[in-house]
Amino acid sequence: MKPELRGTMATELPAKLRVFSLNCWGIRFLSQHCAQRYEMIGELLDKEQHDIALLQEVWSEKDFLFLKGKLSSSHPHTHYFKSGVIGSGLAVFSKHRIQDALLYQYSLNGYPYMLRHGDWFGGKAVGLVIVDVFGLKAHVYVTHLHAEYSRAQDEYLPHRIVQSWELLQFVRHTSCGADLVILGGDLNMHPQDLGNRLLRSHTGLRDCFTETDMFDGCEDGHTLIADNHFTKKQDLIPFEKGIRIDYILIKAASEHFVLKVDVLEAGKLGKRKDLSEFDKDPIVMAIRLGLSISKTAALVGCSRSAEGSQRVNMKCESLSTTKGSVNDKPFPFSDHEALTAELALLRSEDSRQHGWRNAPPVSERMDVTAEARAVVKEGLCQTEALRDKAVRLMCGTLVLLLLALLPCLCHSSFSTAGFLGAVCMGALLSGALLYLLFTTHIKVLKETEDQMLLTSDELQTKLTGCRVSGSSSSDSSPELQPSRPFKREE
Amino acid sequence: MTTSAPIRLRVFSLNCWGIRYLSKNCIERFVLIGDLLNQEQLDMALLQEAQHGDWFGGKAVGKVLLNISGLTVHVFVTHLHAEYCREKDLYLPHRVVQAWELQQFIRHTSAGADVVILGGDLNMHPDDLGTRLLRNYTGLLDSFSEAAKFDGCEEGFTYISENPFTHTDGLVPFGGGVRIDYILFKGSGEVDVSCESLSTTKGPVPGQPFPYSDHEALTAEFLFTPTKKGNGCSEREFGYISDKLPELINTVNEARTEVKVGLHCSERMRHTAARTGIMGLVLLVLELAIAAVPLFALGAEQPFPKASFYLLGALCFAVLLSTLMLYIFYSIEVKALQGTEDQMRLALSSLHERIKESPKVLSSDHLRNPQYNKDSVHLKPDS
Repeated sequence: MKPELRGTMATELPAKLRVFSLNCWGIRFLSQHCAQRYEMIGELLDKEQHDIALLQEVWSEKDFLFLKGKLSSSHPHTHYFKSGVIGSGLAVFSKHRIQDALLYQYSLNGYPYMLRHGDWFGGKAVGLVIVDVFGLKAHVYVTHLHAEYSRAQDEYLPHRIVQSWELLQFVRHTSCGADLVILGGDLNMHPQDLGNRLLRSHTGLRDCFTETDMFDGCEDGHTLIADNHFTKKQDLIPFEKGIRIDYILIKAASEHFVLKVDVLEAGKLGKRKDLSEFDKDPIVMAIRLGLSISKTAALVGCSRSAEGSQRVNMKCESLSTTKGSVNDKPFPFSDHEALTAELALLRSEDSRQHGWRNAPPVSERMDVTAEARAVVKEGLCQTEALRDKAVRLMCGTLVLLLLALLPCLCHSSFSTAGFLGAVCMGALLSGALLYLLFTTHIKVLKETEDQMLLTSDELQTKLTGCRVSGSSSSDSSPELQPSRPFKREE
Repeated sequence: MTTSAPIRLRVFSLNCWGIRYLSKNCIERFVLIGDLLNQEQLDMALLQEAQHGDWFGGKAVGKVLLNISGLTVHVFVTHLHAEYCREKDLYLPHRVVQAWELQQFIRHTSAGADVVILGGDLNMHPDDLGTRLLRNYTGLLDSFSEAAKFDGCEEGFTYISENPFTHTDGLVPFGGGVRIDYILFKGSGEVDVSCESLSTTKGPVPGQPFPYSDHEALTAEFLFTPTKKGNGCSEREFGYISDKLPELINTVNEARTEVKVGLHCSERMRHTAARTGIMGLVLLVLELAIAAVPLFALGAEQPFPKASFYLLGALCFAVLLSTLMLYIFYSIEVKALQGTEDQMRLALSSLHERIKESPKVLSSDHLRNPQYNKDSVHLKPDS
């Protein structure tokens, strides 16, 4: 694929894009009125004609195929992400052509023995579809994170932080060539929760609810409300009215122009003294919207620059949610409310009036990463403790086996010996499996911690590096932000 | 642009055979490896196998991003599932899926890279389906084929019979060695990458009692030169070369067939597990029913056969538990294979679209297709 001069291509801008997201609660035999609700959802999607519909908890493939059939004329392009034992439950219905799909399954997703919670069996994942939208390349992510069962004492918090981290890494590393980035789904996190702040600060994704011009829906944008027929009031405690845990997050590539600078030329200007140490050469800078490429290049005294992004901006014009009950229908679409966002795609020149789009400051990102790292470390301790328990279980069982079997054999009470033997074998096997499970969890937590440390170090370098270049520039230009939002910082 | 000096990079790759308690002379070999890496002035060393056991060793691909003199270099290191029996490769579907997932990962995360390097033990021969899929779809080049200078085992073998640690019997049909470790590379619109030299170790190490590992080590030297065109546009998409499109489509089709075969097998295994489980359940129920009968009998004429009751019960329970776990395991495998097949189908339709849009193809009438996608009003001027 030759490099594309997309910037000069005529696309039909400005344009509108309507995105829909809903956690369908499609657990056959368990969720209520499943079949009828899928009928209703199918009708809704057919009538509303969204550009892209992102569904979660479509656990049964039959339900997906039903929707696919019903929407075959309105949404001819679909993808169903399969992972885990039961499947990820993630499905995408699109008017526009899906060029490619990629799935990433989270490394930690609860425990198989927590059958009551069942998250482990649904392979929680993030799916990516690359959609061709009016000639632009849209990377659309749909995901569903581990549920929060107890806010006061969240035993799954390390798992959910790891999922948030893996989600943001996935988005950052795969959205490089995108013009538009859209993320929809059930994050199972409140807007200011650590995982959410981590996600937004590292990816630069913006919450449609906070950004939108017009909003029509539940108070405070709640997506799991007490008024909904299906929600259990005790699940919402201590939040009486509802909680906001489903989101549509957006970002457009051109918000941060990426300027690649010929470092050898920059080196001649003596901007950095330690150019010889190749691994300490963060040279790439980003400019805020409005500053021309040539002016920026002149600022750092470089003659050569490369533009690596598209002149498109995306803004949320309106957001709406369902409000529990549905007109003319006996019950709502799901226990969650549905989100519909109307996004405007504009040429970046047209959107200059919107002002600077700030990348989250480096210090904020460092703080939130440190906070997340602490949670992961805590999780590591807890899991190591669990693994020790598994070892103790195995040892204890072995001892019991020996102690109990001997007297039984002496009295040749074969049946009791057999029974005890069976029980002990069962306990030993469970202990061994648990040991393996916790070992994998520990490895994942350690890997995540290492990645967070790496990121923190990079941010630290940026923080100190940024000050050096900022002070040496004689212009009264705005502070140059050395972040490259779609790419991993160097 | 012509004044900027080209950059050299030395990359090393080795499967270290680091299975504690199992691989021979493990500790001493790691000391040797450490010394080697210290003295060789390498820019980058990619190591595999600090752990073993295919299922337990969570085979994965790792990625690091480097900034070398202002260039973004994406480096991938990986280790794929081993091939235990070439004639009847039970793991072929798994390996094809791994190769597919590897190329997906590389393609989707390298869109802004100036240079991409992949090193590791792919456990596949150069012309195997998985290797072809990986190379064709990503456009990565094999350093062995591209190197200006080569010094090492004949035909670039990386697992050879001369190495005292290897199992020589399996290597006889291949002429004494196989090439299963690679360093692959690719440049971009901004940077040309060429492989100046490639070298491998040749089994025993002079002056040392044994080799570094059962695999040979690869060392490649690359040269990065800025391209003359430097039109300033970084590549928006990372992948194949348009000329190779038909070949790529064939390879993906071939891979898809393998995945379908694997899927079929997996579904059959899952079905067997389910049937066995149900049989175990039926047996258990039957046994409980039989055991219950004496309770209704008047008087205890026959002693209750406790021993056989418990034994049979334990057996049924064990069968139930193990078939349940197998069912779960096969379900995961089935889902993974189905997911991969879906992705391949999607990819194939995308590739077919590209071929239709390709200017070379448009000129040939017999390929003109009246049906067009209502979304793409403009034919893309590229590709």
